[in-house]
Amino acid sequence: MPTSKAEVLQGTLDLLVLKTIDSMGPMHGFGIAMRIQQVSEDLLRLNQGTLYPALLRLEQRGWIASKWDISENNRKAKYYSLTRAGRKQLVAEAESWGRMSAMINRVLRTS
Amino acid sequence: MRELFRTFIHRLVALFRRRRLEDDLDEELRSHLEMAVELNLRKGMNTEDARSEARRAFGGVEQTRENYRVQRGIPMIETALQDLRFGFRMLRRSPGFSALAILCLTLGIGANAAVFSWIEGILFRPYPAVTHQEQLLALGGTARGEAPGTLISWPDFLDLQRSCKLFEAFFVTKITGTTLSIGDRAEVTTGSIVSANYFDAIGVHPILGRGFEPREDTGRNAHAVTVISYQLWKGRFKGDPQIIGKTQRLSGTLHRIVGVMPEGFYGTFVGWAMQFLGSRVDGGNI
Repeated sequence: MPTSKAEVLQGTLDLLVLKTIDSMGPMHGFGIAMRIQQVSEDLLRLNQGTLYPALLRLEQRGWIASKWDISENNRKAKYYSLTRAGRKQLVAEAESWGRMSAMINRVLRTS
Repeated sequence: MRELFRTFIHRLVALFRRRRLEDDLDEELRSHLEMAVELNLRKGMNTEDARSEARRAFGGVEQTRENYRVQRGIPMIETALQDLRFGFRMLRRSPGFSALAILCLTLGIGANAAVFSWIEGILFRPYPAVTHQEQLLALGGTARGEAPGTLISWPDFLDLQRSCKLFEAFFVTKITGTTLSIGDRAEVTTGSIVSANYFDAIGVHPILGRGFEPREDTGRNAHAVTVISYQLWKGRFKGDPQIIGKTQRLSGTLHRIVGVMPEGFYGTFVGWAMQFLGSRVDGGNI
């Protein structure tokens, strides 16, 4: 068991969610939470509840769309899928994240 | 920018579908927790552990709900609406007290409105239609052996007009009354005598005819001319369009009507509605 888990960085939850939906296709909140924890190998401390305001925010901006559907276990669940605007946003945000982290790495290495 | 607009529309719509969206959220969170419990059960936990583990991983359910609501609608408006509903409920609960409170407020607001319109009429804007009333100043004279506030003499007025640069203009005006007889009816009316520059000084000009010409107020050229008020024109003269040039007897002297003042002009004496203006400052009959 890891001794410390990383907090989700401010503003990165949107990117994580967009990317997760992009790679999994339409998915419900629980599935997105599971996937993020799984991919991050449980190193991320994520209150699953914080996902829902984030999902709403993304939907309000028109980056994802939601509709009710039946889950694989025959349960009613709200499924989120990426819109065209969302896909564009994901590309843009991934790029800017890449630039940012590369820059920070450079700074850390040189000093 | 487009995202901001979309978000705003989304939030606005949410304001009117609160109950639906609230049910939606309940359903979504319940479904999430049930899925989590199910997964935990499959991992071999007992029912109780599965439940508490699902809740732990989720974090505060109520807090999530609250954050969600803040993101969903326009919280300020929702709170205001809530307050409003609460207020109405309280009012309905004690109708007697409510009626009394509403009555008190009604009377209070009514009295205030009355006082303030009175104050405006008396103190702030006492002369409707006059431009720059705040610059108007009344000047009185003193004379030896008489009470202060007596009339100013005509030569003094001329001196002031000629050499005092403190004011843009000086005019004289004096309240007067006359018997106005038109047809077979006679009544007492109020008017004022003014110097010829009156109209320029107060910035109000007749809508029909003209004001007084320079030197029409005094000396050889002073003759019996008058400018009447809009009310007098409409009321006693029935809005006669040919009024200019007609004569009217004022206190026994025939006056020629040379102008009609605009509607809403009542002269420059607080509390009086002047029906006519005369020009003969130095000894006419009116």
